[in-house]
Amino acid sequence: MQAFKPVLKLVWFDIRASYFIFWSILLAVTIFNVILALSLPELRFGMSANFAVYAYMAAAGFLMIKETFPYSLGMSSTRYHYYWGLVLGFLGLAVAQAVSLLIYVLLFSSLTEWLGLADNFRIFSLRQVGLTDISWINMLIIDFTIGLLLLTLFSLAGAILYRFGWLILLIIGMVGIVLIMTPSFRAALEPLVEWVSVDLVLRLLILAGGVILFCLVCIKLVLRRATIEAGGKR
Amino acid sequence: MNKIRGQIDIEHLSKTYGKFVALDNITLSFDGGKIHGLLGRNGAGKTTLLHLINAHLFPSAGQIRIDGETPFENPAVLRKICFIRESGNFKPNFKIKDVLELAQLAYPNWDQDFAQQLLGVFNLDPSKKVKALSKGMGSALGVIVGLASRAEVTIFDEPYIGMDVVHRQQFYDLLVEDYSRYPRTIILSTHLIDEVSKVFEGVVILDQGRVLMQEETDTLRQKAFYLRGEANQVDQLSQGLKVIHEEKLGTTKEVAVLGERSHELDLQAKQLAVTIESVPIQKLMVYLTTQTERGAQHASV
Repeated sequence: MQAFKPVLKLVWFDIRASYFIFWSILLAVTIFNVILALSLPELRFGMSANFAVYAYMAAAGFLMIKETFPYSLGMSSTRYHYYWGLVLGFLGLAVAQAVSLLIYVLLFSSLTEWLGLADNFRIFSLRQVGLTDISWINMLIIDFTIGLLLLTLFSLAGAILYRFGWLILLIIGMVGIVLIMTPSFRAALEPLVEWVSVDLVLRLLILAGGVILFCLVCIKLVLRRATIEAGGKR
Repeated sequence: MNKIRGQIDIEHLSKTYGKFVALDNITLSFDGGKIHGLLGRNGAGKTTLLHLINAHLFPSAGQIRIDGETPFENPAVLRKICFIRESGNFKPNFKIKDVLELAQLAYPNWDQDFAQQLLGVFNLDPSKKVKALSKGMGSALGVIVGLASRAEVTIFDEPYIGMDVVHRQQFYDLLVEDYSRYPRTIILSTHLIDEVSKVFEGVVILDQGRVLMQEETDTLRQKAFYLRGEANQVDQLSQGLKVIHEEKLGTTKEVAVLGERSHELDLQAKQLAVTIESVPIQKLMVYLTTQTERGAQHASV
């Protein structure tokens, strides 16, 4: 465990400022909206923190490796310890964001109800996207999974960018887009779509778990021979 | 017989980037428990070599062993090493106290009290962010981490860029003082050779990716000497010797000779009123590397 500590601390130091800034802005905007709703009762509007959190996770994932890997190597860490420290950091961040989001939704939903604003200002959550009977614990699990999925997916993109540079990342992205647009590829995915549609939430979570594992394996392979210089310079 | 810890052995090491050869089949050793100078001109391969020792880069051929073990993905070896680069050691948005907290976790021999003491010596405020530091203060932070790490292998690659002469002198004094209390392997890659050469116990000179010379500092100081006097007398005395540099000023002449002084030569010089003086290491490096450059140019003509 001692060997992971410097990496975990590095990841925490790297993320903490953006984490607190993100939540400060989100809370400020929400409070402003609550005041607006109180001042102008005829207005009907709402806001969702979910997508802001998902966007944050995607951005954090994309930047994480570039912002931590060279410094970790510089502190005499092995690539192995960096990788597992990063995975622990991902798990920690996904848990922290899911818990923060849940507290946020619970707090502001109760507050708007208590202030009698339920009709003109709403805090959107997964309950408003067809999952009306979802429990808080399930919301936590879903937000954790989506957060982790975005974090790992965009970290893989960040790892490819760090190791090989923009050109290779763009080529891989283009190949992905062309694949998705190819009818035969879409046809090949149909059984998967059918399988998922049987029990949407559960099977999407399982699928997300598979994608997360795939991304983590790919990140490990990409970082295995990565050097301290970004962009495939050395 | 057990070797002193911190011994670095490099065998047939090469590093190429496409067609560019950064290191060309070099074999050398850095003895454990000594202060080594790694010298050479820009592009000689010094930084590449240091990155390879730290397993930051992958060699194209050859191997590196530290205390008999390869550093690549070897935590037992890597935890012995502290490598301070010229720049980019620490994240710009971290505070100095964050850097020290991380270093405390990364280096097993870290001395927090010493680090605090050094912050005072170099006038650094721990609550300041790295990006708010001047070039010299950033270098001072690197020096603090390098010294307080007390790593068995401490490597400084041009650590004092931007530091003023007073802080540089403080660094040399602290380095020697701390090294005498906690002997370890220290490698200093530098361009300010004259300033720091007195602390070196061994010197490696790299040129165009090759080892030009590896010697104990005392031996190296005896490897070359100047002959100064009337041009005719100097020419007469330097006949048959390996002259690596010559300079004429009016009727007087100065030549730098590569080789050891003999008693006979001393006597002849006295008779011809020619003075003999040892060549400073920095000058020797300049003469040797410009000589190989000229040699390469002549060869290519």
